[in-house]
Amino acid sequence: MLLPLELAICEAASALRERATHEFHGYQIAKTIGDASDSRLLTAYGTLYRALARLEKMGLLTSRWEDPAIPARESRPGRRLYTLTALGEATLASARAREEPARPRARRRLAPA
Amino acid sequence: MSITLASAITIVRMWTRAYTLGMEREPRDARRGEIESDLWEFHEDARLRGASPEGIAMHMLLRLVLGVRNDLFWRAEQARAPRYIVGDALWATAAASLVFVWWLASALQALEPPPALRTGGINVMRLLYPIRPVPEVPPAPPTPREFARLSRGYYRLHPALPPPPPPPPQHAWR
Repeated sequence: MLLPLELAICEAASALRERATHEFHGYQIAKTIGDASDSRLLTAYGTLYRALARLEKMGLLTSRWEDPAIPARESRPGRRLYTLTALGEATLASARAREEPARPRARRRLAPA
Repeated sequence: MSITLASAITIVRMWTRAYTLGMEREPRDARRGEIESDLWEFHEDARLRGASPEGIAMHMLLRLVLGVRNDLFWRAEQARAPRYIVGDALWATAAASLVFVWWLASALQALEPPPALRTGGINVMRLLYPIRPVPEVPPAPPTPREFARLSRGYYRLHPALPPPPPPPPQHAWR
């Protein structure tokens, strides 16, 4: 059973995938969740990264650090890139099916324009 | 970069270093790297959207404060510590934060602020109730009798003043 934030992360990851973004970093997911919920305040650092770590441990996400040459070239810190796994998609689909009557609005907001 | 924003970034970094202290290298560096990346991405994104440095700093600090509880629980999960230890640590952190804020406020009061930061105090009541001040009514002009009395007094105080110049000659019509 996923927590609301974990479900929101999976929803956001799925929405990003539909927009052809298969890998995402922490800030990107926080921003996507914030945009979807019309919230001006992004998810707190501790809350977000703890949830991401838990999802990775559950096997719903995988992560890798990007090639160090890219951030060095762009003069920025390296990104940890997450990907939604097949198990993550299946879990999300079953969670959607379970909560279908309650959450149609949030998913519509996350859908690509 | 403004002092406020630099301070906020430093506080987030310091807190991340504090709660990852003593961990194994891999998870420690991963968490620190992720926070560092998030700080950079957020700063760049907010800057491009035209957010003020103070607004960015406030947002960063809020994200930090609201996540402290989960930071400590995450740390406890890494160390496999029981939950009650995390609870105690949370209370200790809250108490230490209060003492720190009290100490900081006392220390800042004793300091002379640099000219760039020297501003007037913020009147909270004025911010809450922005009532326009009543314009000052100018004093009424003196009556002719008062004017004569004041003039006499003036010439009594300053007798060395030259007499007023004679009026200009009147040109008669030819």
